[in-house]
Amino acid sequence: MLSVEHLSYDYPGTRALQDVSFTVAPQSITALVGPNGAGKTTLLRCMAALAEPIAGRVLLEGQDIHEEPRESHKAMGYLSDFFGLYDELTVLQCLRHQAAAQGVAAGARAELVERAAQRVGLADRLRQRAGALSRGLRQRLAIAQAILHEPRIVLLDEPASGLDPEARQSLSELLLKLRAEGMTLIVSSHILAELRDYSSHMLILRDGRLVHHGPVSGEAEGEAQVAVVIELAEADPRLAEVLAAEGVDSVNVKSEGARVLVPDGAAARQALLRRLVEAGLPVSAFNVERRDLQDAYLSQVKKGDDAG
Amino acid sequence: MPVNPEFRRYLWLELSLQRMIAMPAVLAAVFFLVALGDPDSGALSDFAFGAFLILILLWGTRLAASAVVSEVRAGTWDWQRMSAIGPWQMTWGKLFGSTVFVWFGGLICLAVALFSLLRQGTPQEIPSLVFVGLVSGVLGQAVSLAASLLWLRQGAADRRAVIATPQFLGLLAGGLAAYEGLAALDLEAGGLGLLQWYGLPLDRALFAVASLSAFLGWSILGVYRLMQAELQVRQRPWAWPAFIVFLVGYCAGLPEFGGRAAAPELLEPGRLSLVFGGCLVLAYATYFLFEKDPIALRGLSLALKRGDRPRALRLLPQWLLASVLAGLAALALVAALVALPEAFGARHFAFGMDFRLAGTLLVIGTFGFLLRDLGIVLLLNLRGRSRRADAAALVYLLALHLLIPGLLQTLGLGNYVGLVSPYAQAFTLPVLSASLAFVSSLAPGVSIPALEAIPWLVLIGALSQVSLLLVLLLRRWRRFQAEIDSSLAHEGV
Repeated sequence: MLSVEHLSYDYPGTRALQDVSFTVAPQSITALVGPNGAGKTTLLRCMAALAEPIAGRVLLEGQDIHEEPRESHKAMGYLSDFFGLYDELTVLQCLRHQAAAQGVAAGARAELVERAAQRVGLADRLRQRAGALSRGLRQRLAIAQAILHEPRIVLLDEPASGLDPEARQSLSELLLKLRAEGMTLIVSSHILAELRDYSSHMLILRDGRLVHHGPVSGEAEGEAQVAVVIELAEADPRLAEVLAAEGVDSVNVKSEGARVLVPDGAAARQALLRRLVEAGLPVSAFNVERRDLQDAYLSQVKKGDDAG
Repeated sequence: MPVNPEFRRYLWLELSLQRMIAMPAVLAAVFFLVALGDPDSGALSDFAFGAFLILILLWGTRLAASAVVSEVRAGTWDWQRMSAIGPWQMTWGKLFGSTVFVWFGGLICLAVALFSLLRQGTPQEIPSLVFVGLVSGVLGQAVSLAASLLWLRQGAADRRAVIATPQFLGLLAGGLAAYEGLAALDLEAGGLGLLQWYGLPLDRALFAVASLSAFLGWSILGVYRLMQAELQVRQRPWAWPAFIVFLVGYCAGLPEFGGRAAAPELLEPGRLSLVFGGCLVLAYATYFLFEKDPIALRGLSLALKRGDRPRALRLLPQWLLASVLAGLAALALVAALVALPEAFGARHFAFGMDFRLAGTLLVIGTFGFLLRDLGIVLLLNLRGRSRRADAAALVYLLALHLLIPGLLQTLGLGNYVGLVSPYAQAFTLPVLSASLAFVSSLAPGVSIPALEAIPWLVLIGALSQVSLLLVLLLRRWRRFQAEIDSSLAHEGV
């Protein structure tokens, strides 16, 4: 789908990206994370063919995007972290202009404009001036502009920055919907909390280097595990034996409870719960614990530090 | 026919109903007052054409200069760069879209001027007025837009001068085109006639039409090429060097410059001296107008190391190409000077020596000083932000070419100014310029009364300073590379 090969980018006095390589899986949402100044925006701009790297290349379905950037842009949507809108135009005019600018055939424009407006919940504000929209609605309009031409890849730089919790929730739902409709998204942020709800993959940059790229827990085949917290009404030393007999990866087992990793999926969890109950253990709680993105980030950064 | 989306966006923004009513209403009121005051003479046509020029040049160049800058400032330019709008569509969409409102008003003014001319019974002036008006208007706006794009490439979007300076350049180009065009096509003043271009007798009016059209074409090509660069379209840097060759070649053929050598032997060196002088001026312009991005230079160095010729060719900086052109012009001039007959050298002197030798030394020395000045500009650009570096370089160059020579003159050391600047040296410019005719017109054997060592001083001054700058540049370049490499080491890469 989209591959980045040995990408390096320099600013005067510093290297912003150093030999970054990775491949983005189709129909995934990759959280591009890292501290401020890690190179996230530079990487996104290189991937959008808005900045030319000093070395390396970005391939979109095998084609170097810097060779024919205008062609690549037809398959891409990009939202800059400091985006602006044509404030004097109405929402409808903004979207119509974007459709024409993206080379959408005249006959298909009206349908795409309507679809984009509905996707972001702006269908009832088409006659409103863009300059009169609230920050959250401006963000929605900007996303609508970025996805209007049905790009296969969408690059979003800090899309939730400055949004209130409700708007963030609605953004998460929108991104998941776009993914379900077949788009591949890369979303940067330095606030991990806002990425956990929708990310399937995580790409960590630090000081311009790729520290980690891989699926967030539960996404990769073969590693599809979730953490389950088991609590007993009263301590029972047999818990460890039963778990060992089931071949469950125990993270932390005590007589009054345990935190274990089990294959993701309702059937596996149901089987484990049935076995615990059949063994006569006084199970009082059995909770799936979604792995926190921040935990994953910190653990990967630590791994990177240890390796370094 | 598909509508240019960028042009249509401007139609939405610029041509609101209120503005469409206000502009004709205001103009009608003004023209009515003028016509009322002087109903019979040609005042209305002159006034209307003047109003056209004010709208199109004064206001239009402002709008053209801010067309892209305002988008960069508002954060909308990235949308445009990510769109599928091609560079040509964007060029004319911006050029005619951003100025569509002033063209709306300007065309009303032009129509009034033409109507007034018809009423006066001078319809023969109409074609020239329309041609000059339209061409100078588009030319001025295109130059403004192109200059603003050049400044943007140097990262100056947040500065006020990023609009004011391109507007000034556009006004200058458009005003000059209107003035020269009207003068050349002035039928009443006997504008029709012949002029010599490279010795060819050409119809003056036709020459003016061809010249204005050519410059208009170059200005639009300039916008197109810069728009290509903005939209990340890969290109090779041929357009600006081609324009330098065109401009210098165009000027060298004009009778005001190359065609008046007193001695027939000096016709060729005279033209070549003008070519060299033109290349020098345009090389200096290139050093300040175009970007001197050290990162691009690093990319070029890496591409050369890897043997990636297409990338290296693409990254060739304009300052290098302009300097090479000046070097070639210097070589040609030296060859022409050396080829002058010995008898000529024996009869004509400059600085008390054979004119041919003096000329050769000065030409090489002057080219050396061009390289020194380039070295200063590059050295400062390797240190910091481009616009500030350029401003600092300009101050240094002014000091070297004006302040220090002035000081030396005051101290009675005028013969040594050639050590710091060839241009400030008395008699250097006449020798280097098309005014070779001036030297040749001196009585045979009459020497320009100056120190014989001066041409040598110019050469020695140039060579020593170029060597020093070269050492400083290499040191700075190594440090610049080391800074990036050490940032990697620091990060543990």
